[in-house]
Amino acid sequence: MFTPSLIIIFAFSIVMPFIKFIVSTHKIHLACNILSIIGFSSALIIFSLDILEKIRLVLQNILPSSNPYGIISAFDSSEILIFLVANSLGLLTSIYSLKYMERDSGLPIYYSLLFLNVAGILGLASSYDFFTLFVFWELMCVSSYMLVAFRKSESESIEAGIKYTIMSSAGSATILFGLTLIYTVTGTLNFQGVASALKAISFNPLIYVALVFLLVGFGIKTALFPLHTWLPDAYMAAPSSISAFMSGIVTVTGLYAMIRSFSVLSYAVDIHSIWLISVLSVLNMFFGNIAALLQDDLKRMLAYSSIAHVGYMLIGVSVWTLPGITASLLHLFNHAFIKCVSFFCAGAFVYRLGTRKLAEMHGVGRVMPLTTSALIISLLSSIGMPPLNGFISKLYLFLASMNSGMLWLGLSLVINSAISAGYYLRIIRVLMAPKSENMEKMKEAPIQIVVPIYAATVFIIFFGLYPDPVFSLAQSAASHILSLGEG
Amino acid sequence: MNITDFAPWICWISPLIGALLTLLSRDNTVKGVAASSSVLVSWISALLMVPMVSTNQALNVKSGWIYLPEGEPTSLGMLVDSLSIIMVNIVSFVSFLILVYSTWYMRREDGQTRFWALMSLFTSSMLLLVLADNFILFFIGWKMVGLCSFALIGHYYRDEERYWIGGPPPSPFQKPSTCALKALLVTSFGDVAMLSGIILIFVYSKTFNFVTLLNSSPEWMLKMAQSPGLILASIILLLLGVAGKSAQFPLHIWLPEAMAGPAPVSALIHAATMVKAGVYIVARLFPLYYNTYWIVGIQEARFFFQIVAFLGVATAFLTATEAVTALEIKKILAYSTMSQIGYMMMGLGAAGLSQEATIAGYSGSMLHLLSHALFKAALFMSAGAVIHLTGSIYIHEKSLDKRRTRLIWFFTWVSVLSLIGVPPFSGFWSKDEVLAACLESGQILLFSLGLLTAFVTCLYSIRMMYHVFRVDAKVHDGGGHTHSEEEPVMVAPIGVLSGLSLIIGILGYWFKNLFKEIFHGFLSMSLRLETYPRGEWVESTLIPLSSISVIAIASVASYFYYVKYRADYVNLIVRNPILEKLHKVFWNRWYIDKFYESVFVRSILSVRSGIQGKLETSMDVLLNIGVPGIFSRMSQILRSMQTGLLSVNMLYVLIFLAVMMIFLLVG
Repeated sequence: MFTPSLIIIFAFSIVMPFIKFIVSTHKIHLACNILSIIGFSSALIIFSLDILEKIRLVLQNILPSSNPYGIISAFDSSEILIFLVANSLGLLTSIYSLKYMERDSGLPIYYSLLFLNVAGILGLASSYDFFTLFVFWELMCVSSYMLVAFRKSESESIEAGIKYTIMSSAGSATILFGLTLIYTVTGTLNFQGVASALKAISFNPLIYVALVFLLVGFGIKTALFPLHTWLPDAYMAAPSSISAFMSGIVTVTGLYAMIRSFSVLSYAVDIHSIWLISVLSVLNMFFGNIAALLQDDLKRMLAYSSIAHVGYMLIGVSVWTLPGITASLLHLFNHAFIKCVSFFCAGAFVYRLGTRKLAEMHGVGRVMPLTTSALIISLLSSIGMPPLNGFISKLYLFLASMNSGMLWLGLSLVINSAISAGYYLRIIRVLMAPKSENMEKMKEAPIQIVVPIYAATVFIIFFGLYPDPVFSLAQSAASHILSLGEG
Repeated sequence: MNITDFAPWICWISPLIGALLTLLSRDNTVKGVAASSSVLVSWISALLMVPMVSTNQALNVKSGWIYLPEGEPTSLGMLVDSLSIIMVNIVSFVSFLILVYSTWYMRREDGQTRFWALMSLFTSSMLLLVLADNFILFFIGWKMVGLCSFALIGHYYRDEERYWIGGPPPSPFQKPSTCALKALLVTSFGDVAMLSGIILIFVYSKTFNFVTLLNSSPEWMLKMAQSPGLILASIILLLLGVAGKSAQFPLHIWLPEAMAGPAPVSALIHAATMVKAGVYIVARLFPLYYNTYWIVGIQEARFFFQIVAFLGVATAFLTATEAVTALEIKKILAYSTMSQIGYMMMGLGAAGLSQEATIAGYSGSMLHLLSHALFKAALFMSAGAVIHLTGSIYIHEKSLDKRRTRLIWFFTWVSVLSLIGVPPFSGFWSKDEVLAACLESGQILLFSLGLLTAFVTCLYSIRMMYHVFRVDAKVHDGGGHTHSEEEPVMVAPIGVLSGLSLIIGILGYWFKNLFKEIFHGFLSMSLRLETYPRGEWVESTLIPLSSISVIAIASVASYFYYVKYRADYVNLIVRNPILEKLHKVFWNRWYIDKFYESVFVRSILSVRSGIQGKLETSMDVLLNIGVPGIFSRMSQILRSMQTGLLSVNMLYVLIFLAVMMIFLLVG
């Protein structure tokens, strides 16, 4: 039923809270951290062994590999991409939290929630009926509410958490309502069943209603304009490790779920002809980028930039072609690592300087050169500077929009990249400015923080120079998703 | 898995790693050793590929890299065939020797980290360029070598006066950093043109891969031929890039100034390898246009060969005449480099213009590439030694004491004789082959200008040698002691290279036929001719005889002119108005530089102030105050949406839901 790695993730999330009965209080942080690193790495290792085994079978011609995307698509591959992102971000976040969360208490719960969150994402990614999808969706949502509000002594994070909870619950309700409508029309929640039932039905307005409800529900999580209002507060108030994780994977999982369920509904609705999605995409880009321009809070600025990036990913959804979905998934992957580095670095500044304000960060590049250079790399990649990975996925998004005759989407992507350079470069300018006097006693972030930052930075550079592995992964995932409803 | 599957990768990645290693170490010796040994590894792996030459097979090692929605995926692939194997061997071998020489030359210079890292990086990029199986990877290498060349020409970027070139007064001096900038600007102009040519071809062929490009050429070339002028446009764009990189007319103006860098840089980049990249890409694209013209029958493709031949012959002649008047030893060699590359282009052009001359022209030009790489690298290294030992960049100021630099004297003479084309040195065979191809293809003009250039080549070479190793006055102050000033590290590379010139020359007839066999195999693989007209290679005595007699006349003339009467050029031209005029034209490089400067530099500078006053200021206000103002206003408006009130947020959700519902159900 579940894949072995999903079982591992679940097991660790259950075991984690019980640690405090075994380990003494002052060692509990380290124990939890090591345990969670072990958990994520073993899940990754088991998953890779699974893939390698399948590759071996393909090489020995036991499994067929007829299609042009090579080995990976010989088996069900739509979840590999999400799995890799979620698990590696989980691992990086755990390593990062070792130092970053050292001043917090209640860490067993923290790691347990992180595992639950990843479990929700993984289950959602490999779901084949709407019911499973919804259950894991809720699992992911509930654990992320608590993660946002994790620092329960700070009123700011409690406020953000409550806003997030209420809005997201409303979203869950609309999703549920949409699913009931689908069930009413088709009599089943299984993807294949829904698809074959929809093929039989010629036209039913209820499906459109269901689609809108799903769009709103997933859209709240994905931060579609104007449903995004919870996001800047939540990212700003959450611990940076959680901001990185949520921005990297949790929000875009909403997009992934949207693509997955739209693909099933696409048997009755021509997604490509819903021009509203492309309007939403453009709105998201412009809103995110313009709102970020004048921010003075680094994390808030990055949060708005996430909204803009969701807009970029929506280009692929609105063109609804194989290259389009491929480009969206590719950008999902690349954006995860870009934002992970950005938020980690922002967190490192918070850790050392105790402030999120850009105005108080003048010249931090001269005292924390390692962190700053990683942040600059990630920001340049966000702009879409070759040869970093952001360039590759923006290029494919542009090409996908051009190919399906929606060049204006591609053009607004280019315009928005230019606008976004306005605030990204502003950050870089502030970081590289001559140092202010409060910088005198500062030093580089601790090694436990620098290591995960650079681990993710390597991905940014490597997949910019050699995008082939991710691209073929994204392509096979896209073709798999597009054929979800087929027998 | 075969060793040849890995060799091409090791070949170009090894110097790249070497470049990184040089950055890590602090010791200058270690840097030199790291760089040289990484290039040695390249050479060994290049040697491992040599057995492939005889099989006439193209090995295309691929892995996916970049996908474009339309067209074939662009691969991160290596193309191993006779052409690339020969190029790789020349490049890695010469690079290795020059890096060994550099350990001597650079031992007391500043900026060694820069130097070694860039030299390794250059070698890596050059090998990548040669091995790449598609235009994109090729172009990356192409730009990288350009960048390294820029940085290395500007090695003495502090512009101390002793590193200035040009002059002597009243002629102006040039600073190294300006020279580097000039090289970058001129070659980049060509590169941009070339990139547009590549994209133009991609639009029609949907592929960047050289092999696919050739195999599918009949289809896409026919498609392209439907709009007349397009093939010509793509040819001109591509060849502009070639002209820029290989310093061919009309973009040849940067190479003489590129001599501002250290001597090893000139030897490696501006004589032996980088400037050959243009020849390489012409040879690589040769089958493509050959098939299109001779088999598909599209007339426009003929322009490729015509332009190549014209550029070659124009450059060969123009620059050879410029060399006659030049006074800096490295500048003479630079002019001579351009002139010799002109020969290679000429051979390739002639090869495409007639089926009879195809193999002779192609293999002749490749053979000339090989022999030129050998003798010109040796000459540049000797020039470096001469400059180092005498302390003067001019040939007429000081000269070397033959007694103390006997080996250098000998090796330089061997290389110069090869350059002139005296039998039995390697230059003789290759130059003859090119001239024979010109004659066979019926291009009398090419042939006669080529012969004339051979005459001029002999003049300037003997002039240079006479001045450098003059026995009479003003030998540089050695303090009277007569021990040798040569060091093994410095002499050995020069010796190896010039020795090879001699050996290849002695085995010349056999070697020439070997090259013919190789390229006969190579071309019969890539050209779509059923039975290839092998052609009666003119083995007649006509060509060798004519070129030898030309050289003989030239050497007698130059002996009397330069050596016997020790002609002082100043006295001579003052007496003869025709010679004076000629000298002026040659010294000013046919006024081509001046023309470019007045057209491109002065004219732009003259309109600058007007543009700044009228346009720039208003644009400045608009862009730097207006646009940010609009955006910050918009940003404030949008931020006011972010109330932070939960009830308002939920209202947004409701409005959104309602709007979506209305639009979707109505629309």
